[in-house]
Amino acid sequence: MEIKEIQHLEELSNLKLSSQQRERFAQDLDNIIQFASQISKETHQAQGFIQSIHLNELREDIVQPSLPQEKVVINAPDQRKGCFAVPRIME
Amino acid sequence: MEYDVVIGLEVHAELKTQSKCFCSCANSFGQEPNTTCCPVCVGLPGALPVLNKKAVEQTIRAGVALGFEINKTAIFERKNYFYPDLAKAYQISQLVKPICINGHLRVGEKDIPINRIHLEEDAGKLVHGTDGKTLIDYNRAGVPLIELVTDALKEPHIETANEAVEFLEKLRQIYIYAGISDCMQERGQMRADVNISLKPKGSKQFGTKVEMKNIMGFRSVKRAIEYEIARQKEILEDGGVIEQETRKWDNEKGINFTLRTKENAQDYRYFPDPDLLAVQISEEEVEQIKKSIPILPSQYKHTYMQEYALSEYEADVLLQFKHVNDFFNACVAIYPNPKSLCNWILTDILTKIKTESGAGPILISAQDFVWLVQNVDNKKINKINAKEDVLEEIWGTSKSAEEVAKKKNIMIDINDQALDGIIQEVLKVHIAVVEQFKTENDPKILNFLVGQVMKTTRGKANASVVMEKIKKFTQK
Amino acid sequence: MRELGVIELREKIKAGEIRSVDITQEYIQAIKQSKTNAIIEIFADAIEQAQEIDKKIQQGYTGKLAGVPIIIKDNILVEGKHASAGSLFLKDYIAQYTSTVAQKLLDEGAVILARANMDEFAMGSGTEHSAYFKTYNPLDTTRVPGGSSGGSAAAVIENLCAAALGTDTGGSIRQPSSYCGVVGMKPTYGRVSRYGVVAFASSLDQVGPITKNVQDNALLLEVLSGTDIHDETTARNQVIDFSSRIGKSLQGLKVGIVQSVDAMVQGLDVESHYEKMKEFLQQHGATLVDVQIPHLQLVLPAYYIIAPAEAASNLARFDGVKYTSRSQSAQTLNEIYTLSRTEFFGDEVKRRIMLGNYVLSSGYFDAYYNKARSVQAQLREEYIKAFQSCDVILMPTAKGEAYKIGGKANPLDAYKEDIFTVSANIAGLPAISIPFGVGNHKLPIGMQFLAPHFEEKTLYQVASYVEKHKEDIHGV
Repeated sequence: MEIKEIQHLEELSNLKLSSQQRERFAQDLDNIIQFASQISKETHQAQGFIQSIHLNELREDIVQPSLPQEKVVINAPDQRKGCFAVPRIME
Repeated sequence: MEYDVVIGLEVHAELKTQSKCFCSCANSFGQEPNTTCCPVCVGLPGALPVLNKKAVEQTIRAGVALGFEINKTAIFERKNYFYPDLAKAYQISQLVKPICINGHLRVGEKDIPINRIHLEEDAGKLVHGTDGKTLIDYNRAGVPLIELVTDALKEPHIETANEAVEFLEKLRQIYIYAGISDCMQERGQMRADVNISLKPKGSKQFGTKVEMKNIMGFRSVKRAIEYEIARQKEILEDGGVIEQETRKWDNEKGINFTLRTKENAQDYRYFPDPDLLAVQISEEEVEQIKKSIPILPSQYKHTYMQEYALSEYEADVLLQFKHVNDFFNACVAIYPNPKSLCNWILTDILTKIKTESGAGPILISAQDFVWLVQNVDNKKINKINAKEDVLEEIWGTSKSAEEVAKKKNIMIDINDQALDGIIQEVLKVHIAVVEQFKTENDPKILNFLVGQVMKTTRGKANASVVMEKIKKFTQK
Repeated sequence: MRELGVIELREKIKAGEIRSVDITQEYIQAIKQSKTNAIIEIFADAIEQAQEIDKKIQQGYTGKLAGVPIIIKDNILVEGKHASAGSLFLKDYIAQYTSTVAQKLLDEGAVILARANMDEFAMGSGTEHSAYFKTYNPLDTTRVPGGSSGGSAAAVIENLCAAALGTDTGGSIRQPSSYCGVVGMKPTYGRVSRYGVVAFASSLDQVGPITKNVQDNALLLEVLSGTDIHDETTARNQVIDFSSRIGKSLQGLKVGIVQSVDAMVQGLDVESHYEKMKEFLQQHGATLVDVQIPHLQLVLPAYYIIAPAEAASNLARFDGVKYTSRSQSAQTLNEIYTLSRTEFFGDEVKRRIMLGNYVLSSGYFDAYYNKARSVQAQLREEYIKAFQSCDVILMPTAKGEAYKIGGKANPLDAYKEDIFTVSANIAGLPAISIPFGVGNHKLPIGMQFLAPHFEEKTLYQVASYVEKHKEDIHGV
């Protein structure tokens, strides 16, 4: 796996590896992906999504109580005025 | 060189439901931040989405109203990207198997093809503070949202800003009339993305597409499109090349600017959401929803013009606001004189309720209103009295029109003999004028005399009857 | 008393021979003295919970788990208590709501005693990837207890609780149960709610019991099972009967033997036990039936595509914004994302997130993810077909005894250890691991049975029979 490709994966994953780590990961991921590539032996086409083996009865449109505001933000690393806070974003 | 313009629209509308799309929190606007939130809305660890039946029904309703095919199996997928308004860092949406496919909407003489309507969740709201912070409120996160995407690859295309706006306005009316969405633009309940490409006139090959995201309000859509068409024309005419990109419309400055170029295009890594089962939609369900769809604007319009003999203008004005149209129909049901009701509504009601951004509520019952119109039509009350003494008096109160009219003693109930007496009195007082009328036969003078009689009766006489009587008396 | 199982302990508490608070105190002492690092935290209110239940028991309360102390894996939320999924990212996280499984334990009167160590976000097979500390196998502290539910399995064999909950995405209940010599069940996908359990791979994760004996296991699963309105993927109309066949003989039972498994087992440490189990089954009236599961060859690649793909998306919500740790050095939003995730995710988690994003990214999606889904579909069909000719299928749980700490440094080698366990997850089948003798190092070896969807009761029948009669076999 090329370094450029690893860097792209870092971007998608919002991770930043050190150059040393990057080399190690490239090796590991290469091995794993090579292993996973055996999957190409599969000749069938995926028949859509097969997880459901039971028909769903959907939820009725009824309102249930929400969490209290203070509980919603209780674990926030930064919060103010009942909101989660991050450094100001330029749009 | 002349160009063909191809305009594509992506229209988001928040669905009218009690609860959110994937949890039981209230779908309501204007609450304190983060008070309509649960583990699902905030994307807490271990939280799971559970689909709202009504949201699916509403999406099918939109599809049926616009002549879509409804997929028997629909799938929810995850659209993955990081942004603070997206608590889970993915949006539950639909890509491969949306609920509705292949519909159309008539704009002028064109049936504009629509590729799909899919159901997804809205994101939270960001407030960019002055204290160097952006604050996140997830109340809106998870509100059910439908996205409609026109099929710009098929003809006919939307080609002008005006057509685009007409498309949006018609769509908005349908959503509102069918109870799918309230489409209040000031609340962001209806938002449009626009993409525009130009190609040499008659060319089969499409030009490069430029997208503009989240334009609020139809007037802005019109300006944004006109601006972008002009911008692209200028580049092409200078021999330049259009870049595939996403631009942002700045409504205040009336310009747009680059937001994202093709190179920075995001890879959303869509895949089926394993937390949600595929949605099975039966034909019976679709049929049932079809039957539940109320009369839509196009059907009303047809009835108004063909059966009620209203003009197109009148029909359009009535249909502009659903509650006005509902009121009109409630009145017609009691008093089948649509022409007269329409006249009153267009003049007397609309002037009272129109606001800058729309129309306020009608604060008179259909019964009272019909009582007034009917009595004026039957010459039992003068129009001016009806308006000034009754309509104004009872508007916004619980008073009854009939009681107020009787209390104010404005019913036309003077008997013939008494009226004759009053007219004779008036003619005597204005003897000089009467003489002048006899010689000149001037209608202005006649009107003056009628006015004097009406004043004496305090409007309780019928003016045309009075006029006939004066003519008769002065001929003797 | 600490060595008692759930049912024995419950009965003693019920009979008044011991109070819940006493046994809870005993366990707490034992945990404090333990050197195996099985437990991350003893819940501060454990004694209080026990006292409450004692009071209720005196008043005649008879919950199925009344007064019985149970340990939960660190990825299961209980409101007001820490839950960190073995990660620094959630080091200070306090659950804002209670998972359905924990609620079900509480509803039956269990004392939720402590949270057990685990591989970070359940990614690992030795509990070596916990961000806090490694857990040692209580039977040989130079070896791993297995993973990712290594803390739970270790706690059970070390008698730090009556039973424990684990989660199993690719073997994370069964493999540590095998390594620690306890009974571990991975229920049918959809049997037990995932609500409030920190997700690893949503389409594969299931919570299940780890116990000292089979009967306890069946009882706990009975408590945990059922449709949950908060989890769409829980099955409707479940028949909850796990004990009705316990005590029945194996006469007439058909046990499927997968030919390719036979081949894979050759030369592994587990081979002789596997062969002995076949003998044992036949001697006790069961018939062995050859079955074919051709797609077993591709199940590991499929697993290592599907699980990381879902994990990459599930773990994107850990971003330093809402409830996780935030990097102190972050100045901008992007730094909050990148630095927090880089700082607080361990290497194994990072590897799998990147692998997941690789297989989902544009250009690779069809080649990997869709192919893996296809393998999943085929595998499921093959199992369903195989179960037409047999009641259960036999496989080893792991390749042998617990391996040495640090013995699987190469990620791919570690992944290949999961060969016998992942197929039950990929096909959604129930599977149980039961102790079946010891290996060369006198450490436990587990055997695994798989059954058709929702046929856990057959697994309990076979497991309890083996449990009762295995002493008959030389060397087991």
